Amino acid sequence: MVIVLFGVSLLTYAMIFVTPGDPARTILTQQMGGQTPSQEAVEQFRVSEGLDDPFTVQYVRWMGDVLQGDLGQSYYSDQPVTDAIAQRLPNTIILAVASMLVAIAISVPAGIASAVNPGSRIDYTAQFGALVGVSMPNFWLGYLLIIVCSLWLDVFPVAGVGGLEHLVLPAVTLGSGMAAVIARLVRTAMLDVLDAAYIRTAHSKGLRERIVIYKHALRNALVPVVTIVGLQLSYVLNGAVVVEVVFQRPGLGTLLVDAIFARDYPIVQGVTLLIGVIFVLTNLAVDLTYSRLDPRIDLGGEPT
Amino acid sequence: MTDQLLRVEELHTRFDTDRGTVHAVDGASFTVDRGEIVGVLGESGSGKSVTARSICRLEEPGKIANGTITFDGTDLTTASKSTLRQIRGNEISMVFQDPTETLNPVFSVGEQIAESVRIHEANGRQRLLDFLGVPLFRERSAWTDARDRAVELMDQMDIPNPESRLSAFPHEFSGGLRQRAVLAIALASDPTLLIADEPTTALDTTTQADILQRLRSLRDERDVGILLISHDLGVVAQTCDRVVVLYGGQVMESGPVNEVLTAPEHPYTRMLLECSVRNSNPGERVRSVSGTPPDPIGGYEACPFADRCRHATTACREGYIPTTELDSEHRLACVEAPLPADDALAHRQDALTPDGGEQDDST
Amino acid sequence: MLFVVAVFGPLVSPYSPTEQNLVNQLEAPSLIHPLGTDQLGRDVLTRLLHGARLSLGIAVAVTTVRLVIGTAVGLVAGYAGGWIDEALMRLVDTLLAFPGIVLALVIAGILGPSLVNVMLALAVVGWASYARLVRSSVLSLREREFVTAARLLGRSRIHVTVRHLIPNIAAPVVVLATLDLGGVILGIAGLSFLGLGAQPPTPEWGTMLASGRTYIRQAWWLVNAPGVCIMITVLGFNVLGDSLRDRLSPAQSNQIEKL
Repeated sequence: MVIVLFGVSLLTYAMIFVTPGDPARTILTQQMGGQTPSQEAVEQFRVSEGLDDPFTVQYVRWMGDVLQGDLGQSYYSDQPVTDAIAQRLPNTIILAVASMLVAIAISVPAGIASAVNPGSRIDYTAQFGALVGVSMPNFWLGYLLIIVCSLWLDVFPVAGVGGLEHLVLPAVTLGSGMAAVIARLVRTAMLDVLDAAYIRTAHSKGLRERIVIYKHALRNALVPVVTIVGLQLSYVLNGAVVVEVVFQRPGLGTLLVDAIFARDYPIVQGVTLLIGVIFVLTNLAVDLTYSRLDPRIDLGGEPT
Repeated sequence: MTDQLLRVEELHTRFDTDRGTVHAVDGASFTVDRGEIVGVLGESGSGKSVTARSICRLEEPGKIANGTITFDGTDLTTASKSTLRQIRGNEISMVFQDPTETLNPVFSVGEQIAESVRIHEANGRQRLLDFLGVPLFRERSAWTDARDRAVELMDQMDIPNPESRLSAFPHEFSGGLRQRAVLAIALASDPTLLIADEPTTALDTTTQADILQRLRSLRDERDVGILLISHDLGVVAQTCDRVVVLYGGQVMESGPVNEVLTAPEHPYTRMLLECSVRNSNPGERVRSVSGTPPDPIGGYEACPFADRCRHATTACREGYIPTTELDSEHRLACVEAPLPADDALAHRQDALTPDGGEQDDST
Repeated sequence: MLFVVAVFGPLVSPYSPTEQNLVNQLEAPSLIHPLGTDQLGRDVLTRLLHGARLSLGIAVAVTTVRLVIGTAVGLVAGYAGGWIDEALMRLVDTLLAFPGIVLALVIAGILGPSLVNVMLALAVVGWASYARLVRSSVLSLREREFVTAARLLGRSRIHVTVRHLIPNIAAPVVVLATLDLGGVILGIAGLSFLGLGAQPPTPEWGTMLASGRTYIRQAWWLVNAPGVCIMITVLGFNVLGDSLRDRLSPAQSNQIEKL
């Protein structure tokens, strides 16, 4: 885990380091409003910013700052990167959480419905829907929703942030793709579990079908599902970049894309690092949840 | 016949597969009385387990194509889902083969026993949120009572330290303890009929003896009717009052244990006896069953055993085999009976001890 | 089917994908222009057909690069073991620690917006899962008897790898590649949509979608036509991958075996 985190930071830093072009010149050009800086100014800047040092020295210095919570400063504004991220992060988190909720709300019932009636019309519809959902590019789905819901039906605003109404379309766009993946998984997991002997036991106790499904089967099926939902965070972050651009939401995704086009590398570094770290930590959290859901895991010892 | 609890008549259970229709149970008939243990004996694939599940109407993905299952005056083949639920919660309980698989791994043993108690008490009114344990909607006092009852049941089943084990998970139990917990679940509803499908197959010999002893005392003390499914002649001989020998989904022979297993009339029963002889004369080879049970696709027009039978004639292979009554209890489905005495049966008494070691891979 | 369209489509289309015709700007779908025209009067269908060729070509190329790198790394890691394995796998873990598109976005962004750079970025980012798959297959195969036997016969490592390992890992790798193709197409389209990939006037689906969004109020077909194309293509690869996977997985257990 620590090694991976280290690798993440190294990769993030190295990527920017190998960038073609002289960062000192780029920065000074920007700061001077587009004028070409003098050679002396560039040299001086290099020395003062430590850009002449070897890679390892620079990396260690950068890591030291990062560990103290300093991600450097934007090339363009004097705003620290951490501030820029802090400004945008809440919007992305809200979007991520909302789309996760949408995804779970669609996928779990759909997956259960398919698994309970395998081969039925409901099952085929759900499976086909899931296949379409997986294959749907979310930037197109976003525009499709804008065209239908905003331009034709005029129910939701086209773009921007604000109240709940601004959240609905982006969350649905991002959530539906995830829903497709989760629904397929819920279906497989439920089919496996419904075949298990303890489900027969539950039926033979005289339990109602619904209780058998929602208590005995779902709880077991959730174990693999939680893993995937956690791993889907990767999808959320991938998708958030695109969806934020589509709906022009100021979030981490738009921050990253703007920074890339502006070649504002400290921000690119900061956001990439943050996303990598979030991802690694989520995987850890998934492992922990996993052992809570399945009592057989956290003991790890011999049965008494 | 006033004590008759369960009457299965001409039961046909079928499975539709890619390769054709499997006639897993093909016209079986038998009865179980109160306070009686009836054994269903047969090899793997003879249709024992499907018969057991059909009685509980848990035959899915199979279908009951024909026949009636009368339990205490109710025909289970036509009963509504809620009636079936009521009967499962109050009258019929089931114990399955492998206690590792039959307990839900993610709930504590206590919860699973208490749940069974609650089903029995709150019958017909099972609310989802109550059973899911959603705090606001759960009837706390009722569940506390159910837990107390669970401790009591675990105690009756001789599970040591029941209070502390209430919150233990199935994987923390040994095989024998698990099967006792399964029995506790089954008995929580105070059933009149217990269907035990190979309850001791996965257990070691001492635990097996203990579980069988419990079944006998249930019969004697609570007047419970028990249907014991087993592939083990010894278990049946030791525990049951009557026995039904099943082959290819059909009843070959049925009657009191001491008659059928000491003076078997059907060649299949004889063969089962022969090959379970263990301590026969030193030096003499134990006869093994030649052949395997047939693939019951398409069902039988004739005796299913004919292909493996030493005494088979053309009559056995053609046409319907009628069931004859040797006396009021002992029935036989064989056209060639009475057969000549078979000297291998001289050792049959030795066969009547449970062997316990044999594994049955049918489910 | 898709390949046929991609190969022959451009030949049958009567219009040029890039030639502008400002008289016919933003025409709604009609008989002459079945999917309408865009803001510069170009026939959308023609552009889509050319885009199909481009998208499929790139996707196949990127997937092939991923497959080759990933398989090579996986073979080396699985076969060499020790610190080489350890080091390679940590690299794989690190790559997998980033959401793919985000990493590709950054790499492509640093290299500068162009189709080639997007291809590079996607290839660099995506080989890790192949490496992991191949490595685990090699590890399980290495202990199998036919491999041991071949090595006892004094065969060289290369011989064993080529003759015995590759045929056995080919099937799962091909399935992964088929499923991956859809993902790569989505990735290219996504990055192009963000402006990093193909630049206008190249008829690339993602780019077309991006330039169509300005006219979303007047010309709904500009956004939806490439969207539908991407979806159908990806859907096709997913269906293909799924069915390949089902066929290669141990035969679906027959009902009768469950009794």
